[in-house]
Amino acid sequence: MNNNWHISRRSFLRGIGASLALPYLDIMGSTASSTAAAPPTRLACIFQPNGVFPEAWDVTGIGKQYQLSPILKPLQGLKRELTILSNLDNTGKGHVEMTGAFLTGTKIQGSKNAVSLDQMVAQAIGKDTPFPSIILGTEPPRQGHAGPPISFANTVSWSSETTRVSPEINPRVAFDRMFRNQSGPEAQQKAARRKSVVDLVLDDAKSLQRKASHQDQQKIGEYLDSVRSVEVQIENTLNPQERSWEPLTQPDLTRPEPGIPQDRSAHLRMMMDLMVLSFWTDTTRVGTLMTAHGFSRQNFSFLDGVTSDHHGMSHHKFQEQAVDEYTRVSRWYVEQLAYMLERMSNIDEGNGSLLDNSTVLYGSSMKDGNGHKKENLPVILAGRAGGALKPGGHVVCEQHTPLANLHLTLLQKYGIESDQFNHASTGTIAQLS
Amino acid sequence: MQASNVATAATEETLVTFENHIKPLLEEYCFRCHGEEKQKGDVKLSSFLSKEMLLKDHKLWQEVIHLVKTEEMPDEEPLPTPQERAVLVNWLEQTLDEIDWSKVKNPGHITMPRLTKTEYNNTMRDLLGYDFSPGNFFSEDGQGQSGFTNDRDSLFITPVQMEKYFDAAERSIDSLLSFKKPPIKYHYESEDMFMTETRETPKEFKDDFLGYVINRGQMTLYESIDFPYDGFYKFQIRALSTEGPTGTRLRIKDETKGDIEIYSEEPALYELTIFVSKGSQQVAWNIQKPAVNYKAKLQPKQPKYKALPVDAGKLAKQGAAENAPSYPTAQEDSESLRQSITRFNEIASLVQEHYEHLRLLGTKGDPEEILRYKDYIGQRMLRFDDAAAELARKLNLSNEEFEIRFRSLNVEKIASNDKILAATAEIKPVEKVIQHKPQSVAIDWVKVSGPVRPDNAPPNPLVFTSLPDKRVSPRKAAGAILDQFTERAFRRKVSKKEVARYTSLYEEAAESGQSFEDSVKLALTATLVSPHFLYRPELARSTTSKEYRINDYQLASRLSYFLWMSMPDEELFHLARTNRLHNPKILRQQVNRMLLNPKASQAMETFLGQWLGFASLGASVGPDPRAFSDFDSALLATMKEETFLTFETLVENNGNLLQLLDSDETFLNDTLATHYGIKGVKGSELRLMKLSDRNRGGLLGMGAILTATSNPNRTNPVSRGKWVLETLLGNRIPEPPADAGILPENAGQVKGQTLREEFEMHRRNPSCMDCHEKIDPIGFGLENFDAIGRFRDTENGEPIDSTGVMPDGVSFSGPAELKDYLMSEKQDQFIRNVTERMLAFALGRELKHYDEAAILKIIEVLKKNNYSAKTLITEVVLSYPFQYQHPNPEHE
Repeated sequence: MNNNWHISRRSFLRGIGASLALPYLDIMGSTASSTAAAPPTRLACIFQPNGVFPEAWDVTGIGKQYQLSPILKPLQGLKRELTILSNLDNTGKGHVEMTGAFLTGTKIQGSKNAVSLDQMVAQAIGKDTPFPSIILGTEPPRQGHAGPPISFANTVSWSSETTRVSPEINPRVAFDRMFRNQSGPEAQQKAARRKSVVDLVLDDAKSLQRKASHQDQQKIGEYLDSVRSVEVQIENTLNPQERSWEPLTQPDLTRPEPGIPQDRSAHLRMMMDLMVLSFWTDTTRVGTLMTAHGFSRQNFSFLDGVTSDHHGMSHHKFQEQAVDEYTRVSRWYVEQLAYMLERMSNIDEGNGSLLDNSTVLYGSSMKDGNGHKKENLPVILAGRAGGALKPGGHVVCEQHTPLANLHLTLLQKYGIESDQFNHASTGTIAQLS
Repeated sequence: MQASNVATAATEETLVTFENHIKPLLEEYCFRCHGEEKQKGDVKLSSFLSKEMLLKDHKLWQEVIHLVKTEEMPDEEPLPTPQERAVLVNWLEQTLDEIDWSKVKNPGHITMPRLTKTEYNNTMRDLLGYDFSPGNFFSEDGQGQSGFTNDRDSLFITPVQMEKYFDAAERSIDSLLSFKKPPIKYHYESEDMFMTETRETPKEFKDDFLGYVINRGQMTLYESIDFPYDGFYKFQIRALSTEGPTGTRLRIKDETKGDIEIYSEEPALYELTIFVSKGSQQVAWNIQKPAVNYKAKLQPKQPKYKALPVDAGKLAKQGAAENAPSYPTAQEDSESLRQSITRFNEIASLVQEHYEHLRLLGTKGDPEEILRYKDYIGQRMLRFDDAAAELARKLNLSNEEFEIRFRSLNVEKIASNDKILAATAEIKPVEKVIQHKPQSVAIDWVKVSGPVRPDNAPPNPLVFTSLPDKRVSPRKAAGAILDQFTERAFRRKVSKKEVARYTSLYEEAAESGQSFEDSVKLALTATLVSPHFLYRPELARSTTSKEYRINDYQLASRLSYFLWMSMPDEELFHLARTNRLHNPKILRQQVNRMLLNPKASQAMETFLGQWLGFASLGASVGPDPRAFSDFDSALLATMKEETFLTFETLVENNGNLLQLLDSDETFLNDTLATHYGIKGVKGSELRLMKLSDRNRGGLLGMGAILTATSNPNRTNPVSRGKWVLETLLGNRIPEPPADAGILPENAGQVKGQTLREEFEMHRRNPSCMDCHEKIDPIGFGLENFDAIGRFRDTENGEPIDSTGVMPDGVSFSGPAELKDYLMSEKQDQFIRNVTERMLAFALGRELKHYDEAAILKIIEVLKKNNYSAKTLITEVVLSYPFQYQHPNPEHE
């Protein structure tokens, strides 16, 4: 990763004032390719619901000398890319609160949470891409209550303390949003028309906000922020930014079939493909994937030896059959992760693979579904964050290290200067720095 | 001071104070489990430091009173003395009684209401005059703290959602303008379209009909079609049913767009007009048999041919005994020879049975049938020849010699048989198409044309109300359009100044050379993404700090979004404009009128589905098809319909809400009655029927509820018990401890233990007992209903034990007695709960302690009006929180 000190053309220009003409500077290290910049660093956060059976997850050995556990076996070929973290604890209780805390490190109170790791990083590094972040999933929000409304558990991504970012679960809709109608005369025309509309409704909202009582002011604030974000999209269409990174290889941008695949593996892999595509093309640099709803009752009877739903089996009470099914499902999830990591490691970005230029955070918000255990969570990192992260094998943290410490560590790796994470961290994870 | 002394002292002194008497009791007996250290069941009593603080949590304290009275709490030593209980209970009761709710004047605050996805679609429909369902691609709204998806506190706008609002607005206006675009016309022959089952081939039918026969679920006939504009398109098909009532479903982009019912076995034309989005779409046709409410059954087929008599089999046997040629046995025959002769004669008799069928059919019978019997004779003759050869060998005869002897013994019989065959010699198979599975649908071709106006299009345009012509300048026409449109879209009066801002958008576009339509479209789009449209006009202003009565436009919106989930209609607008709507008499009239409108049933169904928790049944949860092969989407739809119709009928007929708890009638059709084991119900239309079975009737006997509260593979008594206590009666049940565990899916099916026995083992943990004592008896009382609501007396051969004893000592056995228990003991709780649920749904917010006054008032009126369902809705509308707003209620 010796290209790390290279800075992107664009961010360099930002530093000295974007109105200048574009001087060509040698330090950008243009080599064979026509692009001047080093590949960007991405962050993928992948959530797996319902925990794991601890004995089937926990690895033995410390540091690079470790043996993969039954659940993690599918990652054998990627062993050198992994950091497996032990002794990180979550907060809150029950599926909804713990899912909510997975990337925020804090417990949902009423309908408030805190900004999540992915969104903090997106707000910092997402400006240079058409989308600051994308949030994908496979299950719609569910109904009911488990403390807070269960629908809260359909995402781990919070863009403000009150705004959940719901995942898109339809592959084609997600694809179209990212890759179709981005530019072209029709899109330009549309953007120009929208621009005048935006100006008008922003005025509407501002005058409403001036009149509103405190509570309603917040609602209008949400509206204003959303319209402003549309405004940014419009600007991007009207004045397409020069991409700071052009991929070395061209991905296949075949539009997915309409509808949601019945086959669970196919569906999840399609969403993973979309995330990889979005990174590959530099459509976004931050992606979050809900492999399923945080309170998932997915029926896994399509797997051999499995008869029940994921949530049901996760309360296994140490019964042999339930534990076996639970572990089969966990391994299935890890197989899907292996598929995605494999794909990322096969995309060449000049100085390394897409995986080398990313951090993939994979984990569950609880250790063991049986008891909603929040200690010693199953958490893995993969990738090298463009050199900022060195895969460390099995990293054993001090007992009861808050999960927020990992988030703080990652935040710093993405250049965000902070000494705490949502007031939930107690420090960084030394072994990762 | 010792706690017991407190009690004695208190009774003597009569003046009991919180500080001196009550707090010490709470500290002694309650705080060890519900204090700062521990909060069993998530209940913390130690934060109540004064009498005033009881008010905000009066419901919790009502529960405390009940539990202390019934000695359910405390549940561990040391226990309070009876006097101490009395002191605590008396003080709490008196204190809570002293709260004068009529003095608590706080209507609460409804957060500026963003339209839900459904409300958005409906509002666009009523605003534009066409149902484009432009919000279908929005994300689903989640349930808020109130338990409903219309909870305004949890309805956000995100950047993604904002972008979708822009898309939806632009596409809706495009759709409105699509009628003027040059139409498309496509024709697809079935045999040229795609068929998912690649081994199928098109079949020929009469009248030049050649097309695929679709006979099972996954068989899909499809074509990718490019639609140039968003708009309504007409789909015509030439189709027929191979037999009986069938139909086809049109899906576009995996979304069901419409069903066509097909009854005729003759080729006929059918059509459907639906909205389609611009772009390339996968247009798919599947089989869809009519599920509910199909009207006509086909006439039985006219018999063209002479049919066999009903007892043909018996007659043929008799005929064979008389007419079958046979070989005689003789005295001297060996045992082995006798056996061969018997076998030979048996086979001859079997062959003869087919001759006898032919004789019965004559030459007027169905040619197919005649040929079939001739064919049988030919097949059987092979075995006859074998038997003959064996017999000939035993008789030491050649086959020819045996045949001659056999014929000579049976001359007349064989001649008669030959005559039968000769008579049928001329009969040839009728040219007939290949047999298809009954109730398949065949499609000859598909035509697509449009954009067209749908049948239910409004007679006059609602948006482009004025067009430029010789007398009207484009600018004037645009002004007129926007004047009307902004008022309707914003659902209030709009000032000239306000409209002018939108008109200026039109002018800007027109000046830049855009067409009249495109320029107006720009202004309309702005209207539709404005906060004034996306939120209802109920902004609480910063200039007021006290509660105030909402104005009539705001009231019109609250009312119409409550009962129609859509914008007010012209009548409501008129009453708002003239400031008469808030008049209680007029409000009552309007509620009556609105409930009669078909738009009301969507709101009632949403309320019911979300309150009772079966809204997602069939979508994300449902029975395991492997365990319940009888369960299908048609049955599910019928089950839901039963519950919906019951409630809607209560509302319509001013029925008593207690009928939801128990009733001697329900809605049934043939499918549902069969499912319930009720005989004698014919026809697919659901209708109100008297029930003789006391177990059915009321929500607890309904398939939708019983299925929604079960696991995919088995019943779940805990879930049912919890449903009754929480959902139906409004009790608060704490979350189970995380290590409680749950029973496996196959519980009750292995190890020789019943489900009940496993549950009892499971809940021995004392931390589980408290709640399960209340939950389980109710759940087991419903065990006579299986996981899809069928009645049963046994499970796995063991009789069902549906007895239960409640913590208050009342015992019951089976659903009927459980309902009696609820009717006698829990009526008030049920009425309070349904009142609270309806009020929360109407307001679109979680209820707060200050709503108690409104709740009590509604209940009082309900009591006087025989718990009439319509009264509940009317009183909710007339209630204080519905008509008032407080900008900052928590500061009261």
